[in-house]
Amino acid sequence: MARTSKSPAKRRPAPARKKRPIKRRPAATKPRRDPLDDFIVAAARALDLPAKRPWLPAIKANLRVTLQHANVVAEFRLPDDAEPAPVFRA
Amino acid sequence: MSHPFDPTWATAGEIARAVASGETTASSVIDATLARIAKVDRTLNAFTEVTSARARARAQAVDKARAAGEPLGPLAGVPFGVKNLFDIAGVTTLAGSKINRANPAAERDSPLIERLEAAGAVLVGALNMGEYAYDFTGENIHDGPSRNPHDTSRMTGGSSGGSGGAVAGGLVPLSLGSDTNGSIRVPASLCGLFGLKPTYGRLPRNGSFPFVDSLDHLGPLARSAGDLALAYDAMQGHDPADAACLDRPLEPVSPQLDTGIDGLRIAVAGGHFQQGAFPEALAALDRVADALRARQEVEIPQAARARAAAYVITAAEGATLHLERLRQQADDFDPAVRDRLIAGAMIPAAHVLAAQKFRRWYQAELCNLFESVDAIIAPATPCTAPKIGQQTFVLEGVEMPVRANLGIYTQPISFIGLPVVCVPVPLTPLPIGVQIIARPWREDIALRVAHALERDRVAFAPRPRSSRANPAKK
Repeated sequence: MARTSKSPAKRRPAPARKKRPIKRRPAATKPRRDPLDDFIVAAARALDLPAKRPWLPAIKANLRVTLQHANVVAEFRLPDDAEPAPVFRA
Repeated sequence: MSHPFDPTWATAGEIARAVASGETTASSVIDATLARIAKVDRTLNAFTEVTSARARARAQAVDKARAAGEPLGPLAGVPFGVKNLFDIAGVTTLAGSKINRANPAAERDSPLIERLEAAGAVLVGALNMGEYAYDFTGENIHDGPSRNPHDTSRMTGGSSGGSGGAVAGGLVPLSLGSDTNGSIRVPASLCGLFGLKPTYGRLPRNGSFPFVDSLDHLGPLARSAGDLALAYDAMQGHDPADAACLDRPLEPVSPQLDTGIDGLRIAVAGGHFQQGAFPEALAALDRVADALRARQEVEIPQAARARAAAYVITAAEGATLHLERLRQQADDFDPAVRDRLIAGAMIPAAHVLAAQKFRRWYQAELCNLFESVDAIIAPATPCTAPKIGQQTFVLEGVEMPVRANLGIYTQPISFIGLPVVCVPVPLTPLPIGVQIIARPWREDIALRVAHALERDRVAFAPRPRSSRANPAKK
């Protein structure tokens, strides 16, 4: 039997619904890894240094400060023929 | 009735004269010194080894020489101590570490000890220091902190902490320290002493445990500029065992000390050297500048960058020195030193070479500057002695670690090996130092200025209040 569809005219209009805010799942975000952390782990491995996990924050803080100082020096442009201070004398 | 000679607060020169004249004997001086160390060092923690038997034997030899009519040296009977990175025959050279305790005892004295003893001085022991000299505080996790005689809750400064505490506390009139980035001048400033960092390459460093070959210096601390000159004169001379030590003629300063400072062009360092300074550091600088009528202010070019370059070289060279120890015995280091050294091992070589190239540029600039001035004055430390254990202080509104930043004004000077005398300005409640900086090889200028300031009572080593309030404690 064919089903007879209800006439759309007879349908009651749906009551106005309150719009709900769309809930979105938070996108799965990976915590951003500081490249310095990777550098420290890799450098410790390459140098065979025992950088234990509890020591890493202090090592990183010290390395960051030293690199900041190094960058201050690097920003100062010197001529290509600038000699380093210790010069070997034969 | 005349009182027996009391060496406690006497200068080295006064002790030597008293011994030479027969007013006292070297043995009496050493007995009194050892008794005072036994009593007072329980508080100050300046000594890590007291070489009593050796000192008594040496003092007897001085007295015997006098009795035989032999000429006595200019330091006859003067007791002195050395930072425990100097080799002492029969004693293990600790360099402030736990690790070195396993090393055999040194077979002979450092050349500087030999030279002081050849001038009649008497070694009485080895002095506390920050581990492997990587320190500005004078604290030591293995031996406990050196304590400032002006307030024992405060730091001596470091890394030559015991060298500062022993002289300021009246245990000895003279000590030796090392200065890579400020380790003589910082304790001299915080303990209220005179300290000399000679020109790089002036005094031989063999027979001492190194830290950063590019920057290491050795020198004396004392309670008078005249005593610095006496010790410095006795220690001069080439030694081929130190590759950096130059073969220069001896240039004794003591005979020139009283020639005064007329005609010397003295300027005040501006810029970096006044940024971040606490009011007491600037007050001391003003007092010295006024006394010297130093009206001209000079800008040392790129001083902050020089400090940065010294920091990088120190981290990298220090780490290189200790690399194998870090691999094998990392747990035996002071953690604060270990973590700095491990970080230093990771500095790319390009940065270290750039710092060494900058060093040469900076040296040329300062040599130009010294064409127009003979001496430059600058603060030695940004503040008076912090509390022991204090981790940070505020410099220019930024909270910074104390351990790495007490030397912000000393590092740009030792970076290119300039001779410096730190003079003590006796502010209340705590003293603070001012640097007198001269061009290379002109220690005589810096010492003459220091002596003039001392003669005019602008700079002098104040006795700790505890010793003034209760003379019985002397």
